[in-house]
Amino acid sequence: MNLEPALEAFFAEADELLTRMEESLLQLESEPDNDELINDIFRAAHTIKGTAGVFGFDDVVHFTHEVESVLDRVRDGQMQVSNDVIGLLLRNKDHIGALVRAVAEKRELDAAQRAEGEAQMAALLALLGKQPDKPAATAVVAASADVSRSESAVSDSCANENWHLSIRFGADVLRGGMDPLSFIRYLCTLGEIVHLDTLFDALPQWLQLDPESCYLGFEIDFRSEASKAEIEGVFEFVRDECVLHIIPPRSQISEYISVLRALPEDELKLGEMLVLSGALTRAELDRGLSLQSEAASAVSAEGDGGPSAAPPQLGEILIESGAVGAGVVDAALVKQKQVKDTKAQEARSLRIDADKLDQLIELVGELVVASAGVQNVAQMLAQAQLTEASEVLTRLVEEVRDQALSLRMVQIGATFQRFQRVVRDVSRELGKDIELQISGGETDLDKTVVERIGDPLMHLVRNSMDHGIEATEVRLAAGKPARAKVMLNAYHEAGSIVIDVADDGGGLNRQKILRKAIERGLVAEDAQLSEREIDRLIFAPGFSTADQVSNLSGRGVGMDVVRRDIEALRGTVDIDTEPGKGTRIRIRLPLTLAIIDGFRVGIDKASFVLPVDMIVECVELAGSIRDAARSRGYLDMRGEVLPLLWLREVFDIDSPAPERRENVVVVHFGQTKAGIVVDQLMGEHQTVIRPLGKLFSALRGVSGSTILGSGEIALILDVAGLMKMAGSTGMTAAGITEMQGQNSREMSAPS
Amino acid sequence: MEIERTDDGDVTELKVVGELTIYGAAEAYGFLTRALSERRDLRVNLAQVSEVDSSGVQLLLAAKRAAEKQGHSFELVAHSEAMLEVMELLQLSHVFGDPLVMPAQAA
Amino acid sequence: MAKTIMVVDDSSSLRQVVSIALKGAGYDVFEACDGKDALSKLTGQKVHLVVSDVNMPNMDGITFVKEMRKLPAYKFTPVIMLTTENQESKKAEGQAAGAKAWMVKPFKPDQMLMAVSKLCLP
Repeated sequence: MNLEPALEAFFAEADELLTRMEESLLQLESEPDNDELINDIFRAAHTIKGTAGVFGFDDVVHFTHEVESVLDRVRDGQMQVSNDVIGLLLRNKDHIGALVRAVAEKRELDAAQRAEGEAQMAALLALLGKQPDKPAATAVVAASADVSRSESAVSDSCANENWHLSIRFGADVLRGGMDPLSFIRYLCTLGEIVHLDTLFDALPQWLQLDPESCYLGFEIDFRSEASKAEIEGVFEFVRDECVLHIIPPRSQISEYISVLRALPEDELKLGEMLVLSGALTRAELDRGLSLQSEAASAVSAEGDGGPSAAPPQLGEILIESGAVGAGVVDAALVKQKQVKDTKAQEARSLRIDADKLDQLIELVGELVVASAGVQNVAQMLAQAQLTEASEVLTRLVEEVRDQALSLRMVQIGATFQRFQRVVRDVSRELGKDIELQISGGETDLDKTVVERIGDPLMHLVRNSMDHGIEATEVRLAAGKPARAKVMLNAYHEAGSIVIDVADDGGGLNRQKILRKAIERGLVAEDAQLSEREIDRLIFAPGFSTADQVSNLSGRGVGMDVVRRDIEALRGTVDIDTEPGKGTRIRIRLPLTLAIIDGFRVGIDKASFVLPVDMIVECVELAGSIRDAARSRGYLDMRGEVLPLLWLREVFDIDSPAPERRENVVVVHFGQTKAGIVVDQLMGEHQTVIRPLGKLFSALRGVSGSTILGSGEIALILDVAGLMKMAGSTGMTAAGITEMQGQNSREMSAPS
Repeated sequence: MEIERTDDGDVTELKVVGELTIYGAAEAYGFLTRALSERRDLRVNLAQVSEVDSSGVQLLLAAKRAAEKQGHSFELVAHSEAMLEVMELLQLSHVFGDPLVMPAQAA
Repeated sequence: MAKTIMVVDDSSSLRQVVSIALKGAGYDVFEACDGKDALSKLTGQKVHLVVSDVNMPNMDGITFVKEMRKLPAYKFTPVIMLTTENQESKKAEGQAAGAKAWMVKPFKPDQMLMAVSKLCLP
């Protein structure tokens, strides 16, 4: 609507009012007892504030509000009209004028004006004693004749997807011009009345009837997306004069409960929790609280009031008055208890400086190495008693190691739970109906990992919501449920923790990705990529497919950052997408960053360590099989193709391979397996990971080093990195054959 | 609001003209009280009702109940558009049990 | 037929804003600048709703409602009173006078429209 003409009128009017205010203020100096003048001044401020608010000029409203409060006190005789007060009010008047002019000229106040405003504000607040806090609804609650508690046969929720409204109008509503019919008509604008029963059993005998009293009640089944507060708002003008129960649909109940669970772990009062979840409206809470205090004063009035005469609990009152169902109250109570329990648990636990913990773990690492040394010596000396003692020592050290590491283990659940709120808020923002499903929250992982996984997860979840989940219409057109799902799951697998971020959205648009990648020059125009390779392009640096840069993701900080964050944690990220069905991003992280069970292998005199969890089996490579494997680059493992990687070649070790035989260590990582060809297998070995120096950060296939019991140094192999190398060599080989056919045709094309 | 009364054999027909609302509720109540006191079958013609509110609805409901208690019939006929809208909104047709005839569309 | 609403406020710009919003929604609107002016404009015509400020010169909103209720044609006309949060005592007085619906200033035009619709849809 065009408010321009009204705006002009406002500015003219404000001028006039301020002039009048000034005149009256000056006159007030000589006639401090003239109530008419005070009224005039008050009305001027009041009118400016009220009108400015309608136009949304919040600065004017904010400031004038305090001026008005002071004037209100003067008017009520609570404050004397001194010359100082008049002086301040005159300055206030000038400042209101400045604020209005700034709005009229569509500019900000200058620094001097702002400072003046702040000084005046401080003076006003000082006059008012302090920041005037509105008393929390001082139980005025018009003693609505009988908040009929007899009608408490209110079930938890409706058995279906409709709201149920039960309303009994007070006798006087019609006389006050409030027609129940008009509220029901307005209700129709918020949704659909599925069924309505008009109740007239309160109608008296004809001769006792007062035709201007209202006797009607209604039971309404109502289908609507509106919130409980919105529905209650329909009846706001008769709220004190009717008995109203609003029973939410079943789906709404679970919504309340899930919001309750997602509430931050703060100690909140029961009522506040219910209001936050939307299950209870503010008005219902105020009503419940005043009922409670009434009941409490009734109890204390009864006199001795032993322990048995405790005032009723708020939860009971709310359920009994039908404001909220027992199920929701229970969920809130459970949550409340949880928070208390966590607090109690916190009291039982110690806070330890993380640095001290790291020092302990480092020492345990040294201990592990030392104990391995002892074991070595024992083996060499082959003395029974020493061997036995060293075995006991080794076992204890292992336990100490596990305990020490577990100190740093935390459940990922808390990290996951944070996303409940994120998903709830962001889905509202996006206008999509999205639910977050969490599983595996009890999965443990290293605290340092948990701390650093939050950001990548946030990015992935938001990315899913923003790009993955389609608009509701699109979903419905595709025959999918309107409510979309984003899933967070965590579990342990093969010495890693796996975190899945999945959605049931539209999946990746491969054509679009490929087009974009070509546009960005990330791949050649004629490149032949497999679906998997295309999918992985989204992790390429500087890649973003968002058509429009949205508030959430697509700010150019792309999935490559996620990938880098995860790789920095020695993890990997993988993508699995099915058009129309959804996308799953799988993050794999090492369980801990400190110590692993290692398997030592040797090439010539050098030792290398593989994480035991990643090893499937070991096989011998000799004879004709060895020759065949050598020439083909892979091994036929019981009919399965196992790509091989000769570690000697990877690290350019300049010594001849052993004459008779080599060994293959079959490792798996995620879905893929590969064989690593080594000279000797040297058995299991506890390995304390020491990071490589910066100098070696570019080194591929190695994730760290460790010191062996003998004092020697061994490199820890990065299985994921090695597999990528194995995969890419295989790929290039395959790629070359494919390309050859094409090249002959496209030879002349300029590249 | 005005109420026109005609006698049709054993039946008293009351024709409500204008708005059947709180403004005329007291008057309508008086009129109906007189009609009920005669202990005859009642028929209320609603063709000229321009507006109905909650007070009008409850007055009709109470009158029907009072008449039937006396053993007389109470019938609503020729619902105007305004009346039909309220009957539909409050799902009252089964309560009154009278056939509802949609007003003929003006050709 | 469009519903008729009377807007009573001493601020002409507020009247204008409310009028523009209500007319835009399909109501007929006429204005009065205080209680006295409002009473003089109530001449028996049908008014579906009155929106009135409390604090006005000449005749304040509550006196106006009391007087209006004496006129048979406006005995039951719904009234939305515009008030500020520090007028709780006025509210009790006003409700006794027959002004049941209260709305706190400042409000946005949309909020006004919503409040009006609850009492009478256009």
